[in-house]
Amino acid sequence: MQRRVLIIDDEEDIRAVAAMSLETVAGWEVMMAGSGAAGIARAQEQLPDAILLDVMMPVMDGPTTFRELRANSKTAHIPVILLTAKVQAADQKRFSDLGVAAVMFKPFDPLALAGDIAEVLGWNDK
Amino acid sequence: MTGYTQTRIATWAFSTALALSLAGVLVLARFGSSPVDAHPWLFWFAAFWTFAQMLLIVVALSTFRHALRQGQAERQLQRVARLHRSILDSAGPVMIACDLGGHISLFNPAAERMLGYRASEVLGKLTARDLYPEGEMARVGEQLVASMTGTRIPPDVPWNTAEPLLPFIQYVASFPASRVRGFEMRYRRRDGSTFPTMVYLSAVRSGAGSIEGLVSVAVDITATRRAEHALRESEERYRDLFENSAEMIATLSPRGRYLYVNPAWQTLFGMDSAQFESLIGFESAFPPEAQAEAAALFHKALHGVRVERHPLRLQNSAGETVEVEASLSCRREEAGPVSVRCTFREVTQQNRRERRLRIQLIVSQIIAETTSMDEGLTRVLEALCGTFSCDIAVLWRVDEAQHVVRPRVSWHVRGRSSEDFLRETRAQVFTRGEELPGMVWSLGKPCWIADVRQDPAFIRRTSARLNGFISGWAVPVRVGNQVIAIVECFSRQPTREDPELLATVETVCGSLGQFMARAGQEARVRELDRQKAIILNSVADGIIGVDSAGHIDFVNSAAARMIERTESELIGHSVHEMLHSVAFGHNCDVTCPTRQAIEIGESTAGQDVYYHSDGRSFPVEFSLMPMIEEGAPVGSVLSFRDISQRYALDHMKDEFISTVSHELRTPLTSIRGALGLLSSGLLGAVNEKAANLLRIALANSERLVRLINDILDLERMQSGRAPLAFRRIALEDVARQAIEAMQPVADSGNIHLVSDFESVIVEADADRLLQVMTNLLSNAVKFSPAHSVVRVAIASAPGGALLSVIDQGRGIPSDKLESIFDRFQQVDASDSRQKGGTGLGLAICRSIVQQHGGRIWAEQNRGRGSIFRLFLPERASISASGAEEAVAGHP
Repeated sequence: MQRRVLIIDDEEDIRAVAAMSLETVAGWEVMMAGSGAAGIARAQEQLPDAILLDVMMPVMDGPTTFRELRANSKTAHIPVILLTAKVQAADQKRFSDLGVAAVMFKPFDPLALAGDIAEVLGWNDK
Repeated sequence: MTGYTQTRIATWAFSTALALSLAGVLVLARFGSSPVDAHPWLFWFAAFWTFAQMLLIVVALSTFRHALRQGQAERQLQRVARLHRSILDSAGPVMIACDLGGHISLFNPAAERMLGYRASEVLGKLTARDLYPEGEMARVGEQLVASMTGTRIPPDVPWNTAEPLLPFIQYVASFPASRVRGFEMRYRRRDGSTFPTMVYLSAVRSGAGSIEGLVSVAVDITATRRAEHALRESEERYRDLFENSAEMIATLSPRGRYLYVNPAWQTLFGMDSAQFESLIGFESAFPPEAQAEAAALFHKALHGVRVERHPLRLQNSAGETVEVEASLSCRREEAGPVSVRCTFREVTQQNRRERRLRIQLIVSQIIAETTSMDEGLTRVLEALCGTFSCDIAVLWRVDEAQHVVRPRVSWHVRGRSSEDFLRETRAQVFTRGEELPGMVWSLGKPCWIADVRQDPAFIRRTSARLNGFISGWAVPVRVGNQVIAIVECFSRQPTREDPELLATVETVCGSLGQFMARAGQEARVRELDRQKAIILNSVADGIIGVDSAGHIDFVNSAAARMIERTESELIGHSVHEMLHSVAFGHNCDVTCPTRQAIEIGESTAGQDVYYHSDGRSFPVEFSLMPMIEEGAPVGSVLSFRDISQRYALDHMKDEFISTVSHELRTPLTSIRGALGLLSSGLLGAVNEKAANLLRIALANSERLVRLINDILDLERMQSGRAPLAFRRIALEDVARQAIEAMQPVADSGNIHLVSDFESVIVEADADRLLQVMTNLLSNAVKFSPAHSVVRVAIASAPGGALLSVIDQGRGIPSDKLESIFDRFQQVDASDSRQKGGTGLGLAICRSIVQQHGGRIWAEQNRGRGSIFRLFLPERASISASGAEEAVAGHP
């Protein structure tokens, strides 16, 4: 079954590499959004199976976007994985307290990303 | 015939006559008238009988008359004798009479009393010699003979005079009775004791005028002698008193002539009594300057005023100044004044002593009272002038650095102008030996100038003359052996050099020297105090002095500012209360670091949170140093600094690092992602060279990631932002985990991992420890050749556990064993590139191990390879030093 993942990150290159990684390694369908607002709109529209959400974004950062997603009944059920370059323990705690499904770190191993996501979300079909 | 006998005869005759008459009558009667014729013989018998009768009667009558007359005469005689007897008996003097042979014929009751004999024992029994002491008669006899030279020895010295009596007989014979003088002679009593008497001797003469014996009347002069002696003694005593008195005593007539002068008086004026007697007037004995006063005193005394202890000052015959207290009084009788007595008591020494004590007391008081040195010195100069009658005083200060003396303070008496002299003095600066102060400085002894106007060495003589100063002296003021000042005094009177005065002033200057030295020291102490206060108050750290009871006794301005309380609010209160603001409800228990530090009383440092007065807190870094005086703790010094800035800085740094690492990670994500995908071949095959390049690029991008991680890690650890979570863990579990993680790498390098574990439990952060072990293993594997063994051993050690990672690789040169734990240090620079390390691994390990309170070090493996050991204490402790190091950032 084809999984559909939405990547929300303000960095174009990271979006591209992540998308390529998931598509090439796992064969998933990847959607992209370049900001929190665009991401929410896209999520409402596309209803992906998972959202990969960057933390550090201007205007609306990751946690805020996440709360919005949760607040929206349409998107509230979608599992969100935070992707962050902030690796400090305090931050990690803060993020996991939000109620996201997982926190993953950048830089990621492009060959392992899909597997890690699947493992965390309990997708064992790939 | 005594009258009595005669009376008896007469009575007998009469009675006989009476009887015969009676007989006759009877005969007649018998025979009747036939008378005569019958018997013729009767007639003749009758006639004879009548005749006899008449004879008897006549005899009786005349005898009776005789008897009567004699009786009268005898009674008269007896009356006289009784009179004489009573005289003798009642006489006080001893009356003894003896004959020429010396036999005693008279011994009156007084003699009995005085000599202790009864008359019956003496009369006719003893001779004169018995009554005198041995040799006394001879001695006195010689004296009498001697006194008689010139008189002829009279011829009527009886031949039968006893020899001892000879001189005495001669003596009384040579003088008419009324001219006999008394002489002294001692008598001897019955009991042998003797006593002196005054003897008056006279001769017992016969009717013819020849000497028949001696009578001596002797008066006991013991009492008289004693009285005389006492009187002489008493006179002698008085005389002795006056003559030997230290007081000068003179008696004068009302006209002022000297009647008596005792030796002391004579010595004072240097004249003998003869010279005094020739003087006219009491005052003429005195030197000219004292005469008026002396005359006035005499005049007063003469008119009845008692002059008591009037102080007088005069020069004695030797020219020395003498101070006396003069007392004069007048002896009066009804007719008027009889004499004037004058006594002088010398009080020179006493006055000097008093002056010396007084000036010392005054100076001590001045020194004790004054706080300003100049004021004190001026007052001392004033006191010196007052005591020693000087008109001006100057204190010169020695300037050792410039080798000169300078005038410092002066005092002068009001009245005449001293301006010129003072002006000239103030303008002077003297070198050693120059002028009066210089001389005193150089000699170290006082100097006296009799006439400053004439002394060529006295530079200021012109102005001295102008202001009337005549004599002067100067005395050194010393501290120890060093002269620090000179006091000079000048007088408008001519004075003689007075060594005693100089000695007194020198003593006083001793106190003065100490005062000046002390004032100097106090000034230095005040200066030091001020500097200390400046330093302490300009330091940015807060410094609090704590006493042994834990109360604040000193606060610098920074501390007060940081706590936001005033100094007075803080001093005296418990330091712990002030800093931790118990009033605001912050409860400190035994874990409060500041409280602990203060209670332990050792040098400690740490971090804590203090409170402003309004309850806001601020983080501090503190250090506490106990103060020990003579081995006992007397308090401590707490210094602290507000590290909220640093926290802010740290925070900013964290933020920065976090931001930077985030920023670095972001592009790295793209790079690594792209390279990873390319390198995997999933996007298509690339040629070999390209594949190689991709591999290099990927490896390095991974290395970059690791580097960023490590830097961040180390930074966080060293700034304390990554606190460890301690749990009791079994070291072997962590070690096994590390080995498991390393297994693939080891396998690929054909390196055999061996474990040798004892079961040890330590308090540690498991994750961090894993990081360490992984790092060590990774290094070991990295640097081991193929087919070698890497051994991991865990053993218990005293106080904790020892973990060892032993490899058989290249080893580490001994000079690098320490430095490899520093940042970016590797044994060989080429290692970095080759082995992909960041250079921070061991630094991170050390930091982690230190935070556990343990130690990590490297050793050389005998033969080849290295051993990395790490000791972990059973209980993780951040010791003070460990925390300090963690805080200070020294790995």
